[in-house]
Amino acid sequence: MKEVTSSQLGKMLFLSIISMKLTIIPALVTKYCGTDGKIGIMILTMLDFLTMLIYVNCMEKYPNMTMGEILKVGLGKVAHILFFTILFLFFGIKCVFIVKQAHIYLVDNLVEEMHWLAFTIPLLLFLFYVMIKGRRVLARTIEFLFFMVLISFAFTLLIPIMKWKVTNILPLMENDWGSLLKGLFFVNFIIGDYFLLLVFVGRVKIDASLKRTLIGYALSAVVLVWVFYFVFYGVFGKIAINQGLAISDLPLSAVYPSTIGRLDWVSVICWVFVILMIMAIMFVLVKSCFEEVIPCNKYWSSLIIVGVLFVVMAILYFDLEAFIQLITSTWFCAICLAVQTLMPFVVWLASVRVNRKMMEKPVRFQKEQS
Amino acid sequence: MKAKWWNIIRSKYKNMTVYVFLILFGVATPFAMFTPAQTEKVAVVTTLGIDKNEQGQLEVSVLTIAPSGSATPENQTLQLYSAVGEDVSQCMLRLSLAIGKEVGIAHCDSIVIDKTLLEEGITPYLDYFVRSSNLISNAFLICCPSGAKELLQVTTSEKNDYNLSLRSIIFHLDDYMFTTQATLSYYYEKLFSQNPSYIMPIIDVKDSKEPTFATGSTNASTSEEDSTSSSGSSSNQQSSQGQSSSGEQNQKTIKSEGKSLVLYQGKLVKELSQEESYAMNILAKTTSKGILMAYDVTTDQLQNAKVTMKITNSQVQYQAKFLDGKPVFHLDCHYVCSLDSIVMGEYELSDYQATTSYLDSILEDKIKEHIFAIASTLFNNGKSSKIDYLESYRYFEAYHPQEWKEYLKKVGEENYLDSMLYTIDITIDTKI
Amino acid sequence: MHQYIEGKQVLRDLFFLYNSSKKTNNYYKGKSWVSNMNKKIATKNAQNIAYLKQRFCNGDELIIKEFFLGQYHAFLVYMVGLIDVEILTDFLIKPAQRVEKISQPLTSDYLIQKVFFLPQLDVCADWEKIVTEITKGKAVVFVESLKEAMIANVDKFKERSISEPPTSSVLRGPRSGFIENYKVNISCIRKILSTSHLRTKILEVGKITKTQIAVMYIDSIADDKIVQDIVKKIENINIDGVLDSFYIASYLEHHPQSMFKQVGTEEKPDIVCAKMLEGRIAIIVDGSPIVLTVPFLFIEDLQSSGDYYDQHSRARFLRWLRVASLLITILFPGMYVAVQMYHYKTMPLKFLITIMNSTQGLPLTPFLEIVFILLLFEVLYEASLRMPTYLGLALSVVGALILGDTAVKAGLVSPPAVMIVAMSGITLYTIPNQSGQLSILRWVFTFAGGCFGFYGIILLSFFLILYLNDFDGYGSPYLAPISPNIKEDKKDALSKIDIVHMRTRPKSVVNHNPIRQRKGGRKS
Repeated sequence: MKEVTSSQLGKMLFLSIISMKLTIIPALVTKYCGTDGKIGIMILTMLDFLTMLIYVNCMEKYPNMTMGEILKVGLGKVAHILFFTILFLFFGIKCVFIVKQAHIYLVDNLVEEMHWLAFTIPLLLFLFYVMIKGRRVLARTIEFLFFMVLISFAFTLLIPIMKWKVTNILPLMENDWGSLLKGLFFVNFIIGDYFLLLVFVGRVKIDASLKRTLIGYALSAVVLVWVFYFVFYGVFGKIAINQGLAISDLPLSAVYPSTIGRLDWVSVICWVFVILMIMAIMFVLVKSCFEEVIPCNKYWSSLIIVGVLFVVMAILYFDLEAFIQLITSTWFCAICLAVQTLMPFVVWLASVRVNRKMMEKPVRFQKEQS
Repeated sequence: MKAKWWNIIRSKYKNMTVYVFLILFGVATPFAMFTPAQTEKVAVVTTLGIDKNEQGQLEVSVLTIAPSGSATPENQTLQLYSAVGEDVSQCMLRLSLAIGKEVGIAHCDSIVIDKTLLEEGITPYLDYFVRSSNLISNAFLICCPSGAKELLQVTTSEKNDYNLSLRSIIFHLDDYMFTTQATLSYYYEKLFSQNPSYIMPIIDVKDSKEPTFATGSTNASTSEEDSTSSSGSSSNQQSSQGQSSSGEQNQKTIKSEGKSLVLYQGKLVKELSQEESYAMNILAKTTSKGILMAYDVTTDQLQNAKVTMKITNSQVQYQAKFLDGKPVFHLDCHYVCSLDSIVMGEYELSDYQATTSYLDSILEDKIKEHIFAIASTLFNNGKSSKIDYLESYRYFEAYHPQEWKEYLKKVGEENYLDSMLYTIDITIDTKI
Repeated sequence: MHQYIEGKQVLRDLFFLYNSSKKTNNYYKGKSWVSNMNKKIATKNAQNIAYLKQRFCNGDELIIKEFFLGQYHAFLVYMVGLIDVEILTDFLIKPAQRVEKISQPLTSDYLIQKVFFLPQLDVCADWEKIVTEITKGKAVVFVESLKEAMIANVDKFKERSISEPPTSSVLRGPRSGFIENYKVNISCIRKILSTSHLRTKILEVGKITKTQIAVMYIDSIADDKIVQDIVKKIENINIDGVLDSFYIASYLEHHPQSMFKQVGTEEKPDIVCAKMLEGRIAIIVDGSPIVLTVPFLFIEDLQSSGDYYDQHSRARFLRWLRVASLLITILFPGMYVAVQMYHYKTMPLKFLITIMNSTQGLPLTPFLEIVFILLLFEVLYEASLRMPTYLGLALSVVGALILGDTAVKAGLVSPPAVMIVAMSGITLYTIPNQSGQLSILRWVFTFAGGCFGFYGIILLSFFLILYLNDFDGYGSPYLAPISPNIKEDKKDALSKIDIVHMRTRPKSVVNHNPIRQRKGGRKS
C-alpha cells in the first residue's frame, strides 16, 4: 500500500536530518570538536548523504517491495530480523534521547516546574495515538505543520544575526584533522538519518521526481544544519560549549527585554512543534521496526513501545548526564560507527541478490511478491 | 486486524478519544483550578544590584514591580528589596523569603554592580546568573560607584517611572557608547578570550544640587530615602511610596556622564578617561552616533574656530594584516556628518549662512588630525596597560591564524600589543 | 440500531391498530389496516369511501366530495388546507359536471384525455400510494367501476418566499436562498445549471414522514462511485421520520462519533451549484432550507461565496483574516490562561505590568476566571438565541454591559480576561458554519492551557491535526489541499487567485472531468 507521497517523505527526511543535530547536540559537538565542530558537522552530514543514494536507488528499483521483503528474499529471515532489531535499537535510543531533550527544552523555556508525569502522560498518550494512526496520517500531519520548521529556523537564524561575528567563525580549522576526526568518532551517533528511508521502501508513491524531491529536501536540510552551526559558532564563539540548548539560546541571545519583550517564545513554540514532529516520526519508525521483528498488530506494538518508554523514562529521567555518557562511550560509538557503515552495504547486497533472483526465477519471485 | 482487547474497549466506549480527554482533564483540572497566577507567586524583578556593605557582606538588591489596580506601565510603582548573604545564591534565597515570593529575574535587563566589588573581581558573583535559565544572557552589566542599592533606590523615586530611568539611559547610551557589548554573555566571551579586558559603563547617583554635564541624564527626581537596612534581619524592604519616614529629604538623581571602566579578568583596571571614551565612541564598530571636533580651524570663512560636526552615521571597518612580520591593525572609518556648531570670536553673516553640508578641506584635515590624536592616545594607553580595546587579536586570529600563532610564539601571548602597529584611514562625508 | 427503531415502530403500529379498531365501521371491523398494505382499490365506491374513512379514522381533515360523472358515481378525496381549491374547481369539478353521458366504455385514459385537463394526473390502484398522496396534498378521484383512481397534483402549501438566508448574506452576488420546499430548491439549482447532464435522483426516506430527498449531481463531472455510495446510504436509512437535512447528514458521515462537520451545509443555490461544478453532490431534503453537499473539506467553511464576487486580492486577505480569526477563537482563552499560570516570562514587561495590575486582588484563579467568563458568554449566547427578538436585545444589553462591566467593577473578573473571551466570541462568527465545533474546541483548548500550559495547547493542536488528517470521506482528505499538499487546489484554498487562472477543478474532490476552462477569454 502506498502510504506517502515523495514530498511527504522528503519532509520527514528533512526532519530526520535535523533531529539529532540541534538543541543540546551543538554544545556536545563543541565539547569534542571545539569550534571546528562546524567542519565536523559538514563532514558527517556529507558522508551520511552518500548513503541516501543507495537507499533511494533501492526504493526506485523495487517500488512494490518493502525493505522487510527485500531482506527476506535477498538475505534470508535471520538477516531480516537482525537488520530490523539493530534499526529498532538505533531508533529507540534516538527516541529516548529526543524525549529527554524535549523535556529539558520545555522546562528550560516554557514551564519551570513541571512534574515529570505531567510531561510524560500526555506525551505517551499522544505518541500512542500517533503510532496507531501510522505512517500515512503522520506524513500528512507533517506536511501540514512543516511551515513551523521554516518559522523556527527563520527565528533562530535571523534574530541573532546582528550578534554574528565573522571573527568567531574564522579560522575555519583551529585544530588539526586528527583531533577533529577523533572528536567526530564520539558524536557519530547523531547521523544515520537516512535509515528512515528504509522503513518507507515500497510504501512511497513512486513518481518521476522522487529522487529529485528527496535529494532536494535532504540537501536543504543539510545546508540549513550547516548554516545553523555557522550562526551558532558565529554568535557564541568559544562560549558555545556552554550553550546547552542551542535552538533557544540563539534567539534569546538577541532579545532586548525593554524594547520588544521576550518574543522569543514564538520561536520556542514553533520548536516544540518541530521536536514533537521529530518525536512522532521516530516513534513511528520504532513501531515499524518492532512490527518487522515481532509480527503483531499495531495496537499491541504501540502499547508495548509506550510501556517500555514509560519505564525507561521513569528510570533514566533525571539523569541525562548518564545517558550522554553512555552514548558517547567508546564501545557505544564503535558499535554505532559499525552500524552506520554496514547498513548501506547490507541494503546494497540485499538489493543485488534480489535482482539476481528475479532474473533467475521470475515466476517464483512473482509468487513470493504476491 | 484489530486486537481483541481493543475491539472490546471500542465496542464499550465508542468515542474513546473523548473518554481519554475526560480522564486526563478530570485529573488535571482540580490542580489547575486552584493554581494561582504565576505573577502572584513571583516577584518580577526589573533591575538587580550587587553591593558589598559596610560589614563586608554581600548584599543583593532587587527592584520589583508592585502591582496596583490603578497603575499603568507609565506610573508603575517599584519596590526595592535587599538581602545580605555569603553569596548571590544565598542572597536570592533570603530575598525570596523576605518578599514572600519567588524572585523572578526573567525580566531583569540590567545588573548594577558596586565599584568596590569590581576591585575584587566580579566573576564569582556573576556565576549564579550564568547558570540561571531565567535571566537572559544579554542583561547589561553597569557599575555604580555610589553603590548599586543607592542607584536602585533613586530609580524607585516617585517621579522616576521605570520607563524614564535606568533602562532608558542604557538604551540611549547604546548609540553613543558600547553598552551592547556590556552584557553578561559578552563578559564571559571576553573572559575566555586571549585578552580578557571588558569595558563596563558607569551610571552614578549624585545630589541634584551638583552641576552635571551628563550626556544622557534623566529628569530630576525626588526620592524619599528610608532609614538604612537593619543589620539584624537578613533582608529589608524599602518602598519608595507610602512611607513617610522622618528622615531628611535628599534630592538625588541619576547621573550618566558617558564614562566607563575597564576590567581585566573581571577585575577593575582603570577608568577610561573622557578622551579615551570619546575615542572609543568614534572608533568602535558598534556605535553609530557621536560628534567630530576640530579646533583652531582657519579657512576662507572661519578664523580660529571650533567646529563640531554631528555624526549621523558611521561605518568603521577593521582589517588585520602582517607587514614584514609585524601585525598591522588597520581602521577604515567612514563618517557621514552634518555641521553642528561653529564657535569663534567674530561671528559674521557668512558663518551664519554655513549649511549643514559645509566641509572645507582644511576643516576635514583638522578633524582627522583630532581623531588621529585621540586614537593614538587610546592605543598607546592600551599598549601600556595591555588592553586591547578594539579586539585586534580576534582579527589576526581569524584572518592570519598561522602568522598570528608564530607571532605569539615570538613575542609571548601577553605582549602581543607591544609591537602592533595601528593605521587609520578616515573618510568624512557630508552627503547623506 | 435499526432493530431498535423497528421494534418501536411495531409497537406504534400495534397501538394505532388498537385505536383504529375501536372506531372502524363494520366493513373493516376487527381487521388490521396493516394487513391491507398491498391492497388494491375496490370497484365500488362505497367500499372505497368506507376504507378511506377507516384509514383516516373519520378525521375531519379528510374531505370526500361525491358527484356524478355522466351516469357514473364518482367522488373526490383530499385533505383540507393542502390543495389549491381554484385549480380543483376549474380543472376537476367543473369539467366533470359538464359531462352528461359517457357513451363509450369508461377507462381512466379516456377521462384523462377527454374530461380532465390537468397536466399532472396519475393513475394508481394501490391503496398505500393513494393514501400517501392524499396526505401530501393531492386530490384523488375515484369513479365507480374503475379499477384505478386518478391522482391530481393540486397541492398548495403556504410557503415563505425565496429570500436571502440570514447566515449567508453577501455584499455582492446572488441573494436568493433555499426554502423548505424541495421542488423549489431543485428548480433553483436547475435554473442555474441549465444542462442535460444535471441528474436528480428522488428518494423517499421516513416510514411516517415519507420525506422526499433529491440527490443532485452533474453527470459529466461527479464521480459515479460516490453518487452510488450516497444513494445506497440514503436508501438504507430506516427511520420513522426525517424532519431536516441534518437527519441525513448523520448517515453520510464517515466518522459519526466525531464532533467535526463532515458534510457541507449550504443555504444558497449559487454556492451549491459552484460546489456541484467542482464534482460535489448535493442532497436536498424536503422541509429543510439547508442543502447538503458531499464530499466536504475543512477549508470550505473558510471560504465565502462573497469571495468569488469580489476582487481576488481582497478575497485572499479576507480568507487569511478568517484563518486568523479561527486561531484567535480557539487559542486565545487557553493561551491567556497558560501565560498567566505558567509562562509569565514570555510576556513583554509592559504587557506583564498591565496584566499584573488588572488581575491584582482577584478572588478567582486565572483558570476559574476564564471558565467563568466563557460560561457566562455561552449562556448569554444560548439565551439570546432562544429569546424573542425584542427580549434578546435587552438580554444582550444586560449581558454585555451590566454583567461584564459590573463583574469587572466588583473585582470578580479582570478586564483583560473579559476582553480575551469577547474577542474570541466575536471572531467565532467570522466562520458561522463552524461556530458550534469551534466553540467546543475553545473550551478544550482552555482546559489544555489551564492544565498543562503551552505544552498542552501544542500537544492538543498536534493531536487535532493528526485526528483530522485521518478523515478521508468519499476519497477527499479532510484537510486538503494543505495536507496532503495539492498544489493546483491551493489556488483557491487559503489564498485565491484570479478566476482566469483557475483552469482545473479541485483534485481534492474526486471527479472525472478535470478541466474547468480552456485558455482564452482574457489574454493573460
